[in-house]
Amino acid sequence: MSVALLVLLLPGLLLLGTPLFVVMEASVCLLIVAGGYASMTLVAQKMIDGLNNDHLRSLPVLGMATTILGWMRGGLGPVAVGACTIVASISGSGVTTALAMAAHGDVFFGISGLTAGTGNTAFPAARSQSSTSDDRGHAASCHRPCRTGGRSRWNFCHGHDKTARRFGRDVTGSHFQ
Amino acid sequence: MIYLLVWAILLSGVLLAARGRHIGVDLVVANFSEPVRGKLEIATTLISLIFSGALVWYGGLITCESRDIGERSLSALRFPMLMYFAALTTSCALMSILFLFRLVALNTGAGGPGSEGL
Repeated sequence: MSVALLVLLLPGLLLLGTPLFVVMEASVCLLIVAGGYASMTLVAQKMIDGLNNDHLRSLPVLGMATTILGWMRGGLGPVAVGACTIVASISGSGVTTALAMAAHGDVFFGISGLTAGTGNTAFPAARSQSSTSDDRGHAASCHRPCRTGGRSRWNFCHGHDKTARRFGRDVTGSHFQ
Repeated sequence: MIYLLVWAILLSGVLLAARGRHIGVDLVVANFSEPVRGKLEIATTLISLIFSGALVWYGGLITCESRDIGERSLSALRFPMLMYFAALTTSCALMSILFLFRLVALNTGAGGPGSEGL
């Protein structure tokens, strides 16, 4: 019965568009309470204890890599590689690096904390691929024609603002005008 | 430092709630009409509010318990764990307030916190 409840509740909440951290934790909480396995206090205790992880000390490194590499389109990959490189060079161990990055993953999927640390602007280039811009990088509200109509190396629009182009600020799709 | 990081991570969840940027699946919801989407959003905000509220209560319980028994970290620092557990309560309380504002705003037709990310 309890497992059936979980199986129904988890995808149900997920498809309703509920935040992922609520979906995962609320489903388990309901299972625990409905099954009479333990008190909800245990859930709160495990949540906070789960964050007490020494590997999270490498989180600032990820923030640094995000600042350096996260601005570019498809920056998720370079940020991951950059962060792994820095952590590996400090720790001198590939296994430790993998563990540290896995800890970030736990936080990311658990409470969305990775993106939260930088206000969810951690990977602006990834967000630029959403519906806010067209295939030339124009924002939806931008009606100015692109002079060259081409793409630069970083896939932002040429021709509107040479200064902005030089500094490559339009990778988020917010388009300078 | 790890306790500061935990505080930062949990408080950043509040920031995400304020901006409506918590990760969610909109694959199905995006196909519904605007009124249905609005009702679903009210439902999901209500679920989030209930869940956050429950965590405020139970997080408060473990915080009070830690204070009562004078729990401290095992390291030489002897850090009071009360301050560590309080991160969960604080973060969930702030999130609950934001979800409540959002719920009221949705019912009154205003945008409210988090509307720009949804």
